[in-house]
Amino acid sequence: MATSNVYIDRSLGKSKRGFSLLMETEEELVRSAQAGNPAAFERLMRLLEQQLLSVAAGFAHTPDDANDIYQDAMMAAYKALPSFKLESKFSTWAHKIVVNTALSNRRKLKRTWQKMAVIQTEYEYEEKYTDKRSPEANVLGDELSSEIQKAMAKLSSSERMAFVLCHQQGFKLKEAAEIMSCTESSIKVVLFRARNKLKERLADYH
Amino acid sequence: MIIPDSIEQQQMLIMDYLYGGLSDDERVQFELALTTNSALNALFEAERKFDASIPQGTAPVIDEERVEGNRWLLRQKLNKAARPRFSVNQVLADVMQRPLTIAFQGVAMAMTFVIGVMVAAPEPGAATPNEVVAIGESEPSPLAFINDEDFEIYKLKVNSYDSATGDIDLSFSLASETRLSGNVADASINQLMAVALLDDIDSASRLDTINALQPVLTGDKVFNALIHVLTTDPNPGVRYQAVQSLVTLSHEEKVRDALRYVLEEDVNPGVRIQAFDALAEYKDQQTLDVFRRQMDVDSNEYIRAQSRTIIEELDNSSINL
Repeated sequence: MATSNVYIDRSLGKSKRGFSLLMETEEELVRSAQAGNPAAFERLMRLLEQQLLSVAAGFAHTPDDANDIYQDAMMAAYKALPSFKLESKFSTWAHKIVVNTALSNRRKLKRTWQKMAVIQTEYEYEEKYTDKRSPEANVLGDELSSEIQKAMAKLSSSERMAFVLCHQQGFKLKEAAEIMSCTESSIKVVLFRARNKLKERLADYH
Repeated sequence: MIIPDSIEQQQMLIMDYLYGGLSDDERVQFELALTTNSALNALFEAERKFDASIPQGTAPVIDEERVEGNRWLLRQKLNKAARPRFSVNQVLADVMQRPLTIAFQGVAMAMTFVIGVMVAAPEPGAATPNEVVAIGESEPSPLAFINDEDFEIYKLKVNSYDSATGDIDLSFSLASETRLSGNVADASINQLMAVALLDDIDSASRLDTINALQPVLTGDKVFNALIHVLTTDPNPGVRYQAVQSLVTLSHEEKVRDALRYVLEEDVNPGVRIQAFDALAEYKDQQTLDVFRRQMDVDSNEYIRAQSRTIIEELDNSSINL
């Protein structure tokens, strides 16, 4: 259990401490949120929100879909929080919920998108991609972003999940296996398959 | 480390290397093997090419504005979820716990009804002064009600119309409206407006109401309503109007609490700048703590620069002392 994380309370003060600055550990925040304190839940999410949104975006057709996945996942997490056991890492649990929500939304949206694809071959409003690890963190060109998006849409759910977690978000195989509830060996296999498919579809760029 | 012979196993080993599946020692051995094992090296080069075009860490851009928008929306949803809900089961459970009380209340209501009927029943033959009877009909016409100024018609719809005979079939709704005239300085009026701000009135009406309340910002109800609007309203225009009203009261600790909250949490830079300017007049410890954080993280350049100036001036003066 990661109790070393310290959070800064900037929430609207419902407590006696009001708006004051206060340091809380992850465990304290989890317990408070489990007791039904939405402000504690928000603070827990503060350090994870950017990455969780990025994970959601890795699964979505459009930025709006990604926002919907994130919102649905957060509400599901808030409702499921009482069942969260403090033995596991909170961030892994939160990622797991986002991934599961994305998968269930993907199934729901698949039919709608197939219908839309008939009348509209290209959706104009797409995610832009950036290389987060480069010092400049430059946003990739529209064309490459669009090609990545299209190529990723062709991956199966598990391939996309493994690629988003390991390649995009930098999770190690062991962590990704925990989030996806499978073995490291199977992650390696699907990751390799995903890379091969993307290599073929993005051949012009490497 | 033993390098496997089969291509599949070598490919899995490369996945291990690329995605953190090897220990530090194993990584060193793998890199050594690349220099001696040409088959492994060829496979690795193919993967390296892919990583060069789409490096690890290439992910969708999530800018701060998008994060803040989602944070705001999530807060609204969480607040809604946290509100207590009406539950039939809960009501029935309460009733079952207090059967005697409920029975007594039921009897009392029945008695009140019977007494009411007896008192209100007209004597036989007496005239009923306010009875409205439509000409040529025994039943009162619904049109008789619309003369009353307390009602107005909305959603009027012509269902059918016969131009030869002139027969028409209409449907409409009658809404009751209460009109109140007076001065906004009257406590009963401004408190009524404050309460209305907490209700589900449209954005334009909320703007008008806050605007009208601005010259008479007195009383806890008005204060609390404006703070409520400032910290929860989904419309940035309404929040901006609320912060403009409240900055004149920033000497109040309660208002400064709200302004500090808004400075850190509001997605709209206009609202944050108003809050910042008001807080800059009162450099108490809590406010300075907020400035210290915002000078690094605020997406607005003005707030970052001004916060930094205030904090640096303060730090310099404390060093000189």
